[in-house]
Amino acid sequence: MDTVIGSLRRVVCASLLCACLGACIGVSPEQRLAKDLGPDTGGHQTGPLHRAGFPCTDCHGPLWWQDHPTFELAGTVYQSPTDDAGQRGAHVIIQDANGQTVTAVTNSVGNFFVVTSGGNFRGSSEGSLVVPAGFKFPLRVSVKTGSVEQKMRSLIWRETSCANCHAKKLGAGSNGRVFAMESTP
Amino acid sequence: MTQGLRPAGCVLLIALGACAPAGQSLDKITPRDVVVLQTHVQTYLDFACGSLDCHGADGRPLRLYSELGRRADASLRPVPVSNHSDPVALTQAELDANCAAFAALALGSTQPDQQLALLKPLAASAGGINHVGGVHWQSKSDPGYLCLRGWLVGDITQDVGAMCAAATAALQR
Repeated sequence: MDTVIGSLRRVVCASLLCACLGACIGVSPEQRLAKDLGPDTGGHQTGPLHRAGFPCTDCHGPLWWQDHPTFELAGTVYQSPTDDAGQRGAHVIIQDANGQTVTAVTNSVGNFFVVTSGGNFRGSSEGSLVVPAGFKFPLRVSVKTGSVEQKMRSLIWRETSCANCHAKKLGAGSNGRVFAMESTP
Repeated sequence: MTQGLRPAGCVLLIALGACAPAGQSLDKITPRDVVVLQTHVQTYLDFACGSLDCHGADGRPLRLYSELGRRADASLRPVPVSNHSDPVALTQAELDANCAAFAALALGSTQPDQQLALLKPLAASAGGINHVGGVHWQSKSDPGYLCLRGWLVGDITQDVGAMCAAATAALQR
């Protein structure tokens, strides 16, 4: 009888262990986030050109991105509100609450991203801007291409991904894409 | 299920009922006068509180509508706002909802000055409490504090319009 009960206990314990392990093997928060984002329509798997128009710091923020500097601010600039092509060479002018003003220049798909390094300012044609220290919020931002400058009227108080408030589709919670030029009627 | 909704419904009704009717002049305001909100306070809220990454975010406590932040309906944002276009003005329903949001936040406050909307943005050294969105007012003499307090409490010893204008100007370019 004791042998039967012992065997039964072992089976129950093994089943519980399997159930617990099974609960750990599934979709991670990172995987769920990536799934919610959907596929990258730009065809770039990684690097500065990938996922244009997506909320960059959903992945490149302090929550998930632990191997490299996280993005202080990042996004995508488009030529116009209705254009799917990113604006290369747009100047994203950022002024923080300390009065520090920096300018990032967008890459060929319109992406820009700001990271801190503790060193000197460094910009690149790949869309990156390295700044010595992080921003103090709120931020004032404008986008300039050629002689055209669009000033963001409201302040950025905490968001670090443009696309979280500037999604492609206009809506109750989205002001539409960040753009540098007006649409022509 | 129906019983579960009753408390929430009551809170909403109390909150809505706490909003003053429109049409009162500045020399005789009642707490949370919706006209004072529209005329003076809302612009300050647009810049200081109601952006999409703060109290315009879905699910955030004290969720607020603002012209450049959250709208009640997507149709109220017909085109992207640019240097050459203005946003659609807030609707009466959106203003009423903002008023109700503040009224709900005042429930349970024993003193008008103790309502959360006045305590959270205020520095701890001035009697405030923690605010995830940071300290907005270092003291109770900050124009932003006086703007919001004047409207929430109905105190017109300070010029609410002037305080709101000064607080807004400090945030604008």
